[in-house]
Amino acid sequence: MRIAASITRHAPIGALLVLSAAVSLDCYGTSGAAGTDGPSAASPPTLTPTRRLRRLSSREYDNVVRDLLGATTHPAQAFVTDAFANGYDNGSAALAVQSDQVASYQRAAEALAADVVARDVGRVLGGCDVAQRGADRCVEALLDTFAARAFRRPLFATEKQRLRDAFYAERASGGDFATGVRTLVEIVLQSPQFLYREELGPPGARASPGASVRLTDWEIASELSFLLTGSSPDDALWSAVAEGRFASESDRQREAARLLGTRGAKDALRAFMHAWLGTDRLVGLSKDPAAYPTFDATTAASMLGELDRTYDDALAAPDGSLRRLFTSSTSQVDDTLAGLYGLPLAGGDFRPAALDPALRQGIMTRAGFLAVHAETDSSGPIARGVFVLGAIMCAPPPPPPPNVPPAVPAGDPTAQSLTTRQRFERHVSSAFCAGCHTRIDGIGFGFEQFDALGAFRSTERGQPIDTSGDVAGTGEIDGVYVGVSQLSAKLAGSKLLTDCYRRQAYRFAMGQVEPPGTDPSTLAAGFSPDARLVDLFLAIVADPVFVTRTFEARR
Amino acid sequence: MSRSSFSRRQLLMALAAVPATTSFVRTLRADPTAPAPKRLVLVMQNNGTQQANFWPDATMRSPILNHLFTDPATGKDNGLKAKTTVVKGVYVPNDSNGTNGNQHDMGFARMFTGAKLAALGGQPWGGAASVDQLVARTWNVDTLTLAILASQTEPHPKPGFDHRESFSYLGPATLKHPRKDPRAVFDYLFPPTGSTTNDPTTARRRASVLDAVAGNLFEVSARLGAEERNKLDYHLSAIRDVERRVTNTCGVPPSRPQDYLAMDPTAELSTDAFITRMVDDMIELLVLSLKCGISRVATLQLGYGGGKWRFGWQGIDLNCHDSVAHLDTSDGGSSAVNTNRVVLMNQYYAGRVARLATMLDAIPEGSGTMLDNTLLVWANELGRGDHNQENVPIVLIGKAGGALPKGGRLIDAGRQPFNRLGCTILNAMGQPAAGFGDVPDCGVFHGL
Repeated sequence: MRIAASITRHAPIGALLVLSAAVSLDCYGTSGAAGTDGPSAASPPTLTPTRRLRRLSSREYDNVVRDLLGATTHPAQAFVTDAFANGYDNGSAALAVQSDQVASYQRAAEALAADVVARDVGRVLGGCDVAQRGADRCVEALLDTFAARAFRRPLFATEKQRLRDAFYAERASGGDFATGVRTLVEIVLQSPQFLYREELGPPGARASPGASVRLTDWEIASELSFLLTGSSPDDALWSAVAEGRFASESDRQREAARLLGTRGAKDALRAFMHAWLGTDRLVGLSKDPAAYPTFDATTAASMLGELDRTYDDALAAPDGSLRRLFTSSTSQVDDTLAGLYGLPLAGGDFRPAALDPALRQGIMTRAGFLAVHAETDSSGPIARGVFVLGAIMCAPPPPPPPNVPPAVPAGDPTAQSLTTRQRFERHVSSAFCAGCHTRIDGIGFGFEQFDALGAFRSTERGQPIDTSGDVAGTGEIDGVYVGVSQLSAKLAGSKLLTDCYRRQAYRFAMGQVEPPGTDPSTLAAGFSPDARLVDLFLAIVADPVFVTRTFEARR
Repeated sequence: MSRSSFSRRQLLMALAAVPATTSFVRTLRADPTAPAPKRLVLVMQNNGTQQANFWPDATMRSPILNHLFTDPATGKDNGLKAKTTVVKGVYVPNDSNGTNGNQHDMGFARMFTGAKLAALGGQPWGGAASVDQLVARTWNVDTLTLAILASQTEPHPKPGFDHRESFSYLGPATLKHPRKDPRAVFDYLFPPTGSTTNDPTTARRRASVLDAVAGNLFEVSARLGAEERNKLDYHLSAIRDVERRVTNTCGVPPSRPQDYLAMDPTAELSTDAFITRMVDDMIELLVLSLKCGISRVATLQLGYGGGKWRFGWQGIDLNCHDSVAHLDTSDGGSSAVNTNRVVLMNQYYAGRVARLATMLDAIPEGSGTMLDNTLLVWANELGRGDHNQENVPIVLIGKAGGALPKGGRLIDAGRQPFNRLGCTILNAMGQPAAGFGDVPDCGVFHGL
């Protein structure tokens, strides 16, 4: 396998899928030669993915078995935690199913099969009553209903026969009907057609590498449904495909608009926002108890609660735009957060709150965001600068060169009288470091008025906090600012942020980082800082990229 | 990438024809005159050693290695010295290959893969299969991949560092995920009675389910290009691993480890309090998996890459990455207090490796012990804690079934890349190789 990598000025490091190609990148972002073999040699790279399988994420698996079997046990919580190539939990470029995962799938399938057969066997038999219609007909019903919904398309004849064979073999070995059904459910739930979402085009399609194929309507329905609801197509979407009402772009738009109104869409797009802004890491976040003795799981849950509400609001409100997300100073808080934000305590649950707009404009000023993007024992301007550059501006700094001297830790005796800013300024004072750190620190130091929990502070170690920053190298919003609210205001209306959001939405929607040499900001030309956040997803769904795949090299 | 998925598939198809209940180990043990199988065990620690206190004198003594060679109960020699070779001069070529990998990543992603790092999702990953996976693939066994990742200072995963979870790689940028919960490892190694092949009906049904699943894998695979087909090859291989593991040669399993998650839901994530107990449990489970023929290749990882254990159990209780290891800025140490801390950390690791090795050495096998048929490699992601990767401390324990007959030695044949050691490991495990990783002609480690 060789994946040719080329770097353009648009492509951040995160865009590079370098598996074996020789690429060098120095501190200033110039690149070495890129490989030219592989599919991209035949045609210029496009945003269109290659034909592929997309393994269900844990989130998707739990949603699917809930919808398919009525199971509410969240079996995927026991699965291996995966790392994802695209920054979102639906990217499966490098995911391999390992023995642990096979064992987990096996355990989950056995438990789910036993449960559904005992609880509601009709659910997997399409309502077929074995007493009335007999085992043979009910097995066919299973293949045409449960198995098809699990595979997200009607089964091929070979697939049906394999399942029939397994059922009758089980019966021949002495198993009763229910055990035979359990066996089939277990097979289906461990099969690749269930565990991987197919984006392959019609069976038997043959073409040369680089040529493209349109996905089948079943595959497109599945892709749409997983994008917007994190689960398999619902009854309405399934019927639309089966009845030929899902062949056109307007059909897609209609179904997408409908799905956006479902509960599944709220969960799926909220998950996107958390993953984009890194705040999914609030779950399990911990802080150095010596530095932040008040921080605990309850605090993290409050922070998460505020962000859930913020994201839901940004995704659902008629003016739920990037501008609103990055400039709004209204929020919802409980007492834990009220204390942290310096607001009056009122008891009870979350309630609307007006934050100080000079201090808390936009998502980057919220406690959850600030706590995630911080060190465990200190504010972490480098971590914050690197994150904002990478995830929000899509302009990540080049990788650090070898042998970067480690920073002086916050607890170091020689740093006791220094503010965090001074500690890092000392660390990067050499010209060698300044080349890269000008950009990082120009963002990160602007956050210094917030500690590692996101609480406001005006002094540190007896010295006043300096919150001035300087955006550099963007060509659009460069210049000095003071504090995160001003930084947010700069970003909110910028093309930089809008293009970056396009890139992030593409990565989530397509489950992959854009191919090297391509630029997702060419998608959805009309999208603006004031458009609804969800409008971009509707535009992606309508784009040919969504329904087309290219043929990969075959060996 | 040189891996041929086609031949792999042929192999798997052949495997698929083997009845699912056939135990590789049972097959292997069927001939009592056959030589005992070789085993490979890799132990990885983080944050470097204390150079002035690690390298042994002419009698193989040093403040750190004394903890490898001494029985803590009696204070006497534990017998490992004669089976131990300490190698000096190892470095890991520092080439981030355009990724943002630093020295911790060279240790975790580059060392045992021997390959340049690979960028994926903005993170630096290993660029090839690691040596444990290469050996396991040839032997057709699953690897037991164990890690203790808990960290009170900085729980893992942390943003941007998913790749530091493991040093074992199935292939480019594809981690072998470690098992992190001793109790879950136990249940994997010794499935509860009634839910496994102990019950013939369940075993038969499971076998037929997995056979049908394998049939579906082949059918889907036929529609794919090379890269996607690799995924299903891994998947199919893993299914065969699961089928094989259900038979072990130990009969009655030992007692289950403690349920740390029940004691504290954060035990595997953000609590330091259970680390030493989980490490000891994992060591026992690793030994059991080898002893009971469940695996022949195992890795044990003590913390994640660049980990931040506080070593309260050694009387330190600091962020030992930032506030101790980073301050060890010269081979002689930066201050007496800090040097002592680095030594204490490494004495702990030495003691754990000693425990593992002596347990293997207590299992009779053939005319010697299981350790004699094992190659145990104790490695360190760094040479020195301030991100220095010269003189990475590597200790080879066991005779590797005769491939490493001479112990009790310090080998210092000058500066050599780790790739040569990778080549030596492959050869010692019976796999002829002229090189390793991205230096295919580097040869074996000089001086051994």
